[in-house]
Amino acid sequence: MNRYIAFVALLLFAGSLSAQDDACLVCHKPSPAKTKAQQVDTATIVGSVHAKLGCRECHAVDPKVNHKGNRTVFCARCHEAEAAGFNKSPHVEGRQASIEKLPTCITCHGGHDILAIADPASRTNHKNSVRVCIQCHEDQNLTEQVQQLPTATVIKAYENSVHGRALLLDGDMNAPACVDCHGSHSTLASDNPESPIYKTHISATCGRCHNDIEAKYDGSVHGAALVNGVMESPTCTSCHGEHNIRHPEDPDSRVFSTNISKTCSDCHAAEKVVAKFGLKADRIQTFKESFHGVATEFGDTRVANCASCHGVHDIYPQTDSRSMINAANIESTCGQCHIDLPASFASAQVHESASEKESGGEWYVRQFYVWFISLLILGFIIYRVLEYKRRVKRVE
Amino acid sequence: MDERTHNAQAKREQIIEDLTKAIVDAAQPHIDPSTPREEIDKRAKEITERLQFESNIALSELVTRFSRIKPATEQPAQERTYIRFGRNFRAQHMLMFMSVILLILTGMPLKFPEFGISKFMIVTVFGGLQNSTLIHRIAAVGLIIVGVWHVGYIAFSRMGRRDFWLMIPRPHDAKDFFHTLMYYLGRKPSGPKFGRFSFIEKFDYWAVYWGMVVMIGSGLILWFKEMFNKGLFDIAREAHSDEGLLATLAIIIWHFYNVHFNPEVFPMSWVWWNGKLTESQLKHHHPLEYAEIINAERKEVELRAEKQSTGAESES
Repeated sequence: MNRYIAFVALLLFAGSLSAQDDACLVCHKPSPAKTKAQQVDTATIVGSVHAKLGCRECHAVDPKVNHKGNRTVFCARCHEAEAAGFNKSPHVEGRQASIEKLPTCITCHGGHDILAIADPASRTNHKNSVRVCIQCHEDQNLTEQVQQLPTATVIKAYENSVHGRALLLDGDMNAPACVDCHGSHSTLASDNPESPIYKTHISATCGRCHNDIEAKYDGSVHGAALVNGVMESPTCTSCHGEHNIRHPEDPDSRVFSTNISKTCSDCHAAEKVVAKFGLKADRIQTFKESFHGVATEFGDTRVANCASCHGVHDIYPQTDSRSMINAANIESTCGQCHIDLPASFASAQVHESASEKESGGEWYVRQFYVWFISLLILGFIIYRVLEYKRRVKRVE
Repeated sequence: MDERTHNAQAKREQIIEDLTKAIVDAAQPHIDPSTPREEIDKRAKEITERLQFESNIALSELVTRFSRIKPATEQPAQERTYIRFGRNFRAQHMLMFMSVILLILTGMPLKFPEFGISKFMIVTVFGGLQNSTLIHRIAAVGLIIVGVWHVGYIAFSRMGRRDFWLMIPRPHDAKDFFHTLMYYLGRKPSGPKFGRFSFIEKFDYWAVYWGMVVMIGSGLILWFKEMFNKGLFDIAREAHSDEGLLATLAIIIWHFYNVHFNPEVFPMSWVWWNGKLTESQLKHHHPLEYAEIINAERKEVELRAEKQSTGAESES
């Protein structure tokens, strides 16, 4: 049956195959006696985007010479730019490190069955391309062999991410696949300054879709610092995650209301960062001690988190007039929730701790109770011990 | 002595002997070689006897606490009883402990939010902070009502006025306290004699009094924060949190011991429920009050007799 279809197809598309190709097919026609490499299913070729190309456009072999085992394909003859990008990629560099199973053009695009990427059936169609990347990157042998590669769990987290779900489940073709962030042919590693996922390029990469946010972020204290070469400063992925990026309203998101303080604490409570830039180290701790922090701990999403007062992408230093916590704006910032609070609340100290003397009254109250409770409880215990000893003696 | 008791006796002696030997063996490296053998044996025997004694005490404590068998001092059924707490006072106490239990359950987790049990309490038991804070405020209203009610009670009720007068700390309370310490330290043969309220009960009462003032005061500032400034709010928050912890600890260590875990009342003194003390309980815990009551009764009887006799005289 298959052979019959192939024959009909051959007749239909006969015009597109040159006389030369007929010569190739004398040997390379489908036959059960031959290996897979030796037989060419002409039907797949005539259905492919390369249907009009003759065999030798790609297989630059001399038919008169014995070309057994010669499988070289010359895509670069036409696809020059793509090939140049691919040649810079770790997929090519890896050859020097003799990594097995490195991809070539065919690995991703297919061989005789190659289709245009716009074709929904194409292996490199936007939606299908994810599968193409994952089929190698979920291989444990590969991730063990190449230490700098992230593990399969990290990569596959994409499938459950906001982008992955939009593309793979909802079929939203505007949602990014692997290649949209990593580049399609060059796929440079994140430590390569030319890579679209190099730290200073990430906001532009994300900004290709989220352009309004990119503009806000670039002007913020974090964005400006990164431009000025402060590599510790966070970019999009530092807060939102990479492959595992979730919708901000997803409770698993790193920027979900109850998780955000932990995400900010990665830098703002980290000894190295805090010491290097002279930041206040107790910001997270004092937030946790406040009612906002306590309620957050119990999963209450109505209370303020870091971003409620400091802003999200548009965080500025307190001294900047655009800052939400600038003296001129603080009242309206608190007023987002506390419409009934007097203005004196807004101008008061925040992020203060009863364990520090600067907090004033609270420190004295805390000191009083620490001593009072300790001494009283000690007294109670001594009294009880004495009472017990006496009871024992009386029984004796 | 029959054979079984004899055997048990022999077995016990055997155990003591073995234990003594084990103690001597274990202590061998630490004993000065010049110590005479009899001295070592004597000390070892003392230790085993002490061990035996302590374990007996522990056992008897357990038995008295957890069995229905009451000690020999069980009261006869038809004993005279005295009302210690009236209906009004008992109702105040009930509303108060119901409020306080709810306040502690909904409040204490907020002081220790990182504990698993705190999350269990707020999220699982009360169904989230929104509910628990509402329950906290409702219970707070209960506590405020108790406060106002009690102030009215000590001002306008005869029994309340008398009890409040007797509750006021006096120099003899300090004396009683030191007397008790001396007694516990073995310097005095018996404890002090208490009147209607001992220093222990006065401490309990005034601790609550102080706690109510601080908790209600600071709680109202937190509740109606828009009427205050943030400096005061922060101080109130710290005080509310710390005083809450202090109150909880005082209730558990001091009050619960006095009325629940104390072997004399374990598992619970029922006076909060029926308000009654038996004559022997009154005599034992409040001997001075008991003497006063007896005196008053005697005087009344005498007065009545006198009245009768004078009435008879005037009639004749």
